Amino acid sequence: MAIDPVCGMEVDPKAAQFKSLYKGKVYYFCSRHCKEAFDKDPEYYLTHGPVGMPHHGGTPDRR
Amino acid sequence: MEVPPIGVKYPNAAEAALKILGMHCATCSLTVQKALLSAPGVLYASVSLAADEAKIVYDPAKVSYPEILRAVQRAGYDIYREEVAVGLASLSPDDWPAVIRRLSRPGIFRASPDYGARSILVEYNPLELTPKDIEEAIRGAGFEVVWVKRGSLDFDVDARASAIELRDLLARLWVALPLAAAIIALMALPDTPLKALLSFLLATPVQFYSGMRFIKGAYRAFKNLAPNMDSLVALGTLAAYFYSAASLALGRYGQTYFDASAVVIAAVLLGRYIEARMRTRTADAVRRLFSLMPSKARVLKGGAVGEKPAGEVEPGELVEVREGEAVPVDGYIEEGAGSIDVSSFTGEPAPVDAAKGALVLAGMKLISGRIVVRATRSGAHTALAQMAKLVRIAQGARLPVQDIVDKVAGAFTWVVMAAAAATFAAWYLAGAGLATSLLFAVAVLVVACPCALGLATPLAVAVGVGKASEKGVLIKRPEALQKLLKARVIAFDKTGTLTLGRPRVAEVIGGDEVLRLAAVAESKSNHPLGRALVEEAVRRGLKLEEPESFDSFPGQGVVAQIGGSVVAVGNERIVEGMGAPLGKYGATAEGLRRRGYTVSYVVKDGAVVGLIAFGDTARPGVPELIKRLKAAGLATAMLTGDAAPSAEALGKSLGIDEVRAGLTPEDKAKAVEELREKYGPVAYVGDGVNDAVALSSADVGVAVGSGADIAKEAGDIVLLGGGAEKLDEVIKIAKAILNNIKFNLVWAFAFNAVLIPIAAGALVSLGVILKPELAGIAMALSSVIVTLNSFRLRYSK
Repeated sequence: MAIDPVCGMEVDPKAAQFKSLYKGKVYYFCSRHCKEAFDKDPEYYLTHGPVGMPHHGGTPDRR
Repeated sequence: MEVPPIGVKYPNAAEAALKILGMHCATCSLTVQKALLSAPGVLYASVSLAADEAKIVYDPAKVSYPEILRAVQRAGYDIYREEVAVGLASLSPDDWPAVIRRLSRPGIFRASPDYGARSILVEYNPLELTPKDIEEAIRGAGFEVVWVKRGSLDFDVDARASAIELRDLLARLWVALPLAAAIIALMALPDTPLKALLSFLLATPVQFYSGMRFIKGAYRAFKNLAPNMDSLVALGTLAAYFYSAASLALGRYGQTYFDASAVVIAAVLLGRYIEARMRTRTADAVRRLFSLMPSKARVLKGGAVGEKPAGEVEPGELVEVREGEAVPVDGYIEEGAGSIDVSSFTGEPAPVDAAKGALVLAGMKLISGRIVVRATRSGAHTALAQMAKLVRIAQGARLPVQDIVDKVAGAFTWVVMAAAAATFAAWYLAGAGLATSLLFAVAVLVVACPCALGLATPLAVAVGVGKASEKGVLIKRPEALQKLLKARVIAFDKTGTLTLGRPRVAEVIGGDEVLRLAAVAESKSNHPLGRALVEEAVRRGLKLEEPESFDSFPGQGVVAQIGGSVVAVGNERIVEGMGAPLGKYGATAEGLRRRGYTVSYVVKDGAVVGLIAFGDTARPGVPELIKRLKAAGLATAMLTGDAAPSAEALGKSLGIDEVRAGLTPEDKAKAVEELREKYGPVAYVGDGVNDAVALSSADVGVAVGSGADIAKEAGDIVLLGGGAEKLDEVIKIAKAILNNIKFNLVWAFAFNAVLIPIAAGALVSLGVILKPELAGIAMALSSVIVTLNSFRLRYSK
């Protein structure tokens, strides 16, 4: 199982519909929202860790 | 409807409504209106978009419905037409002018004869005429209507009608042959009253039962003022018969010639019989198509399986096809997979693998596997049925040369009758005696064979078109064959016509290992580029393993783990995603793109290791085709909507004279015009749906068909399966058909030109006399020879 770097959910890579390639590594997402959030600023999620569901708890606080 | 103010100027003007197909906008209705007005005899036209209807006011004396149809079709629309097939007791080519004269009337778009089945297929405007009107028109020309069938054609009817005709001929033959033989035997006896009386008794049934066909035919022909073959035979034999009967009555027993009339009738009937038997075989091609379609379909409904007639399957129903069975309907594979024999459509013997989502057509055969098909069309609406119908219509089509032949044949019978009269007069005045003079005249009448002349063209067309359909070449308009051979420039569409229409690996930078990695990475993808990689790797004998993981990124490429390394294949975006610099490969890729290739990078563990260039390559056989065309002195051109680099690269490698890229369909039509001005007649070979405009603007359009919807394909000739390379086949067929016609015509003319003077007694001084009996046999042989020669086309390679 892979971890969605945005929301922290477990995602099955074989079944994942949403994924991104970043610096030679593949990231899997639970939803389009998570993927879009990641694509906007991948470094943020990779350095801060999962921040919860962007589409449930609004946009993450990124001040 | 408002009545246009035309009645004043044209008191005889008539009005009609036409249903127009394909209109979807206001400009459409204007275009259709303009098209209608461009046809001769149309005085007024108004087109209603809402009702899809056009009202026309026309001058009945000048209007031509075929022209109206052509004008509307040329504008890209169509007129709704219905069809009726009318079966006749008999129909031969020299009856056709009389029929067509009756059917050249408003409301009839097209009438085509089928001599094999003795039927006429008429396309008419159902808003103006009914099948009854058409039947009556044909009756009005003196023909006996045996059956009338609306809508799609029932091919059993053909077979039944042929059987009736053959039985009739055979019954008459069974009377004529033994009696004629008996009369010949009697001739060996000395002239006695008894012998003359016996001959009379034997000859009478031959004359009035066996010969009744000719007498009836002659009566009809004279009524229509279009004498034909029957007229000559009836005239000749009746003259001999009545002269002999009169001699018998007057006691001049030595001057009876019952043998002449009986033998002529027997010989001509025998010839007709052989001819009719062979002619029924022109329908073989169509019958073969129909035999491909199974009559029953296994329909799945809620887990249960039920059988029903294939023609009654509704769109949307699921049909099961098992190994070894033929597909009964058109549709898409819903479930299962298998290997399918499509040769009945394309002529290609190699089976095709098909799985879920693939289109299958009724008549294709499932060689292995099991599939469930979601039906889209059944029965008369299937591609197979459409094809059969087109073949049949084309088999009855007239070539332009036929118009000349018909004129000659029409005048011919009058000339022969005049020649017979002159022969009689000349011999009689020269003191040859009544009997001798009459026999020469009779010989002239019965040796003349307008029939061979009339059969020469249509039979070769019917056989040739049927044969071509078996090779996946559908000749929709046979007159196009002549034009194809006259074309000075052949223009081709690119993708799918000259090329395979799918990418292939053209170049690998970085060696086999790069190709192998890329192929392994892509082995799980079903992207066309991925398939091309795997195909090429297999071709080069590279070992492909399973990737440990695989991810595809639409619009970018794929990423896979192979032997512990991360390998990515795709465009610049995937390279960026891998965090790899493009390096020197960026410039190389740019160079390849300028040459028309699609380029993929191969990245391994964060570094670009190579490039793969993909190109759409020429179909096998195409380079040879272009070479042959050029060797034959023809110009070649490529007209494509694709970007210039790839088009020019391909054009150069094939040696095509003119390459024009980036064209819209309308540009292509314009380019066709320009080519015509520059080189002469243009043949265009291209996609039957997307290139419809170019196909119809060329002198002859050869459509590379998708196979699914043949009736909608534009073009005079449709290639089912394959691409441009099949043009060779088409040219070969065209040459074979036209040469065959030439032979037939030359033979028919030469036969008459040589034998008529001999029959008239021109060579009497050399001791050569053509007795009426022999003249009849020679005549019968001559049409049998034309028939046999036409059927040579069937067995040619």
